[in-house]
Amino acid sequence: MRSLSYILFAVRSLRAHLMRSMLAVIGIIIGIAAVSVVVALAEGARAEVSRQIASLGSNLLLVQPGAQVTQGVRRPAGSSLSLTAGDAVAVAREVPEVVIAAPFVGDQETVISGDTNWSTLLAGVTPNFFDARGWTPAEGQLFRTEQVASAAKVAVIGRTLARELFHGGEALGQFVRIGRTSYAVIGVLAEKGQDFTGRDQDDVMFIPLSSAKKFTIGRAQANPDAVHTILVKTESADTMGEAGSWISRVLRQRHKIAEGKPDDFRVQNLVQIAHTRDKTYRQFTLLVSALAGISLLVGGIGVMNIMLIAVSERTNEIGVRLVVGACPADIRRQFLLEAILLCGIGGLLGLATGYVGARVIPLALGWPVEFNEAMAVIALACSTLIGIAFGFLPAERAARLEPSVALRHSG
Amino acid sequence: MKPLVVLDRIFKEHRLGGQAVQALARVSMEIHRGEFVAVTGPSGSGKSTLLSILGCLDRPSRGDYLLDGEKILQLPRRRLAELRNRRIGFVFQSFNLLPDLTALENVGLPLFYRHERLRNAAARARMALEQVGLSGRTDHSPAQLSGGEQQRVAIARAIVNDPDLLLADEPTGALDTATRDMILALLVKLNRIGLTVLLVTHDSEVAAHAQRTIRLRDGQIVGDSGMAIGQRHSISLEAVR
Repeated sequence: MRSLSYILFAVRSLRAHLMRSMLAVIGIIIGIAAVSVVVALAEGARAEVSRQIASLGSNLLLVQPGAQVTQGVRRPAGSSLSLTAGDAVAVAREVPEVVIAAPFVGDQETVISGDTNWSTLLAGVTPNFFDARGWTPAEGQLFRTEQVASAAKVAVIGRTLARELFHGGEALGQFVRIGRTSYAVIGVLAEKGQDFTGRDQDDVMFIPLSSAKKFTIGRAQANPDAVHTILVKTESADTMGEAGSWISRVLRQRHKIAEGKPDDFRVQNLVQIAHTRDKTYRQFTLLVSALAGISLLVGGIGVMNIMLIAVSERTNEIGVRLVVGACPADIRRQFLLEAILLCGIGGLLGLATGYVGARVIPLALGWPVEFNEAMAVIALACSTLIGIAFGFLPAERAARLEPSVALRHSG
Repeated sequence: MKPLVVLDRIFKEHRLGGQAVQALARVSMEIHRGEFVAVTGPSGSGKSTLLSILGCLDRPSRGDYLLDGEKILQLPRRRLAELRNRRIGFVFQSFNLLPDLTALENVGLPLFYRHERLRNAAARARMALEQVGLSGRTDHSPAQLSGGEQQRVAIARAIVNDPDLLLADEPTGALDTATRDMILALLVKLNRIGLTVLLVTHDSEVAAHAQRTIRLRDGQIVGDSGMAIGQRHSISLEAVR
């Protein structure tokens, strides 16, 4: 009851000096809004990265051919044709930490169905590729080892491709054509979204590795046996480093690379790459958050400024309160409460502004944003703490006033 | 009967720009319950300083002040606030009402600081306003009241806690003669029903309403019309020494 009257007192004196109170609050509004928007953006980016890391699958290493060097000119990494399906088999056999080694060829191709065509990633793989990624069909089934052995004309397609080619109609059992070869769609993969490079993982068509070699990709390259990537799944995250160096040794031996000569392939840890990106994000977030925090600090100093002015302007009021029996603690409480109230109101309005900002930014800029309740609570707690921190000095100054001195201020 | 106020050789020095100014020097007096005392003297004679010390707003540099037997000098600020709240009522020349509060809230302010329940406080504040003849003005803000009305609100605030001592510092200094007389009549009336009043003024007409007049000059008592015999004796002895 009593503390309620204190709050009512504070509300009234803030209202009595409305202009000044509003000016003080604006700083806090801007500070809290800035912090909450930045944190919402950071949370959004982080959630995005973790989604991407999850979509990469766990314990995966990527083995790719090294750069081809033609007449002294270094071509892009992966451009040489040094890896073969045989390498994949050897890696799986020789390196005990490796559970699966799945060869992969891929190229951008135009896929035709009826009068519709769509440019997509055509990938030739073996069934263990799906095992390595942990991908399952949403409809139909995946192709089997026998179908790879027989170079069957079957395809498993991604959700995006199915939508583009069949416009929401039944995809299973339909035929799609690449060049002169038609493939029967036997499965549609479950939706996976973007990978960490932003590529749509559902815009894809998988056919058996042997079919790709025989009918499309293999025909276009100098070495039909060459594969573009070997996807390696290790038994655990801890053994990825060890597996990587063993894979290097096996491949160097198979490729007959002399001691001291560079590898003609490279082994990459995708999760590590994503984590590195995540770390960079975090550092950036920290920096921007610090800037937003500084604006909040400036807001707090504004509140302190206004409260100091209030104390000196209301010295006579303080004197009167002391005369009628307020003790220093009462005076301190009164001014501290006013500062907390100012900051609390500023915090609420800032949070509302931040929320609107977090709603508008994804629409305007397409950045992912996550605005959660825990953050709102933290922001409010922050603004209250700022009220206490920056209200303390003015409140203390008010409480220290001698009644006779304060009264003399009346003039 | 034990005196309500005992001042025993009170000294008060103010520091002004590094220089010590003697505001009160060896002031001794007693005030008994029910007295109406006027303190007069030219400006700078120490009247206001005396009032500040009597009202526990300020502490003397030296000397003893006993309020109803309690030594004031060593008390902490919290206890002084409590004394001001419960035992002393103040009335000022400039009214000193809080402009953002209504008349009723101004009167209730001392009760708020003594943790009185809100409903109870409102009832008591209403009663005090009735005593000063302002029951029809409870919800007006000070700005909506005349000077005389404002001073009556201030008097209501001073008596709402049923104090032992009412201290008035030039309470009619800002008022016209008719209003002045009304305020003085009110103080006299309050004194008749048992309130001890000490009034500081340089207006001899105002001082004439009191039963006893103490005259100050240069921080010293130079005249006291109604001092108790024993007290006068002891002071004259001091003077001889």
